Amino acid sequence: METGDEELMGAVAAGDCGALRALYDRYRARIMSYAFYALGDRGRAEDILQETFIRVFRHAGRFRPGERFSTWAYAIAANLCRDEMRRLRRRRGINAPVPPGPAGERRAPAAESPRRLAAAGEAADRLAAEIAALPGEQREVLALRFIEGMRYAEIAAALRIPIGTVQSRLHAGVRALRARLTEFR
Amino acid sequence: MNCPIDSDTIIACCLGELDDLRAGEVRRHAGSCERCGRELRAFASLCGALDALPRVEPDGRLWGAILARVERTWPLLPWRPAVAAAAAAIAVALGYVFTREAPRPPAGVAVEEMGSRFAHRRIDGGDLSASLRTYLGDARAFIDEALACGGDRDRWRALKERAAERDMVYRALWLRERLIAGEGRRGGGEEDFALVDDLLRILRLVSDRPAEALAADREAIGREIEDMDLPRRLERGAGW
Ligand SMILES: [Zn+2]
Repeated sequence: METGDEELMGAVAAGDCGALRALYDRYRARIMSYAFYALGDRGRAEDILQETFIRVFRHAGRFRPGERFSTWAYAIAANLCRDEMRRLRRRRGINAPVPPGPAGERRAPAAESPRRLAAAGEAADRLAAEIAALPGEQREVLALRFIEGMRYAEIAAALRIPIGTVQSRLHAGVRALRARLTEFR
Repeated sequence: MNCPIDSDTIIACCLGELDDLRAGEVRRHAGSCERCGRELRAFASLCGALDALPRVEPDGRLWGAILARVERTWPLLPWRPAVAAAAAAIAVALGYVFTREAPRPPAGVAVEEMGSRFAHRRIDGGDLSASLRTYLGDARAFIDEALACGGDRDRWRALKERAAERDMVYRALWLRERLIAGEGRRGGGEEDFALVDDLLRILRLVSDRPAEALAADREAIGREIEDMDLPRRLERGAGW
């Protein structure tokens, strides 16, 4: 039988790199995808994934038995993504002020990012590009709901926001995507 | 036209937020109302497309990068052959049941080998502050003492007691985190890291601190370092 996440975390807390590797293999694509769709950039998503696992290792002692590893790890990744979004906003704020209004958060996704999804076809490319152009708070709930298939309560726990906020951000995100993509008119 | 459902309800239906009864009502209405039917089809196909978005895999080399950083943070894991050998000798001297998978060459040779490894080493703090240099000096003195113990059980036990008394494990972990925090700009060089790693490996053997307590130490130190925001302070060129 496969060792449970929580059991592996016990070993990680005692310094076991093999256990950390097992958790990494189990969650790398999930956290990577979450960060990719939340940030719209592959390189940044890899940085987030790396930093998430460094923190998992360093703070393993804070992990309490009975807690779900996935929620705990996503909370770390989500915090890192938000820091990154703030950093990018600040940098943009200095170099190139963005016009206010609903398009204020829009930014062109990094050149290499949605193109890398070529295998998934052009429609998925366009969708990924439009997700990348949404406000960060909508991107993160969309990623957790659709890429990770999380329930609202899990998303609320990972992002530390009320369930009602999860719902309203999802609705706003889905509505905005439909408005931007002609194939869903 | 006045519809009994709004677009938010249609979105809720597509996202699976409604119970079966309510979802059935929405679908029935959409079947007979052109506007709501179009809305439902559009949102349903968008949600389907979102569900079908592919997962993204990281570069295969990323784990290597993570492991390298983890090993810097927590050096008590892989043993370099020379230190592993010395550790085996220490374990024999202390009568420990030694369960590490590390190779175990003859004890005397190993300790000698380790001694020669350290013989030429100088503490060179470079840009490190005086306090860090002092700590590194302490670390070196402790290692030298450990190497001088050879197979003498009594000396080992005395060293072990002193390590506990001075909370050496915590100090060593703290020192290491400081080096990491200052890495790059003003922090310690490879030699400093190697020194602290060797100290930690020896301490691991002479310390009775259980794994959970070590994990708690590591956590507390990590938090302390984070709270001090050291990497960022160093980025800005501030001192320790
Ligand atoms: Zn209608």
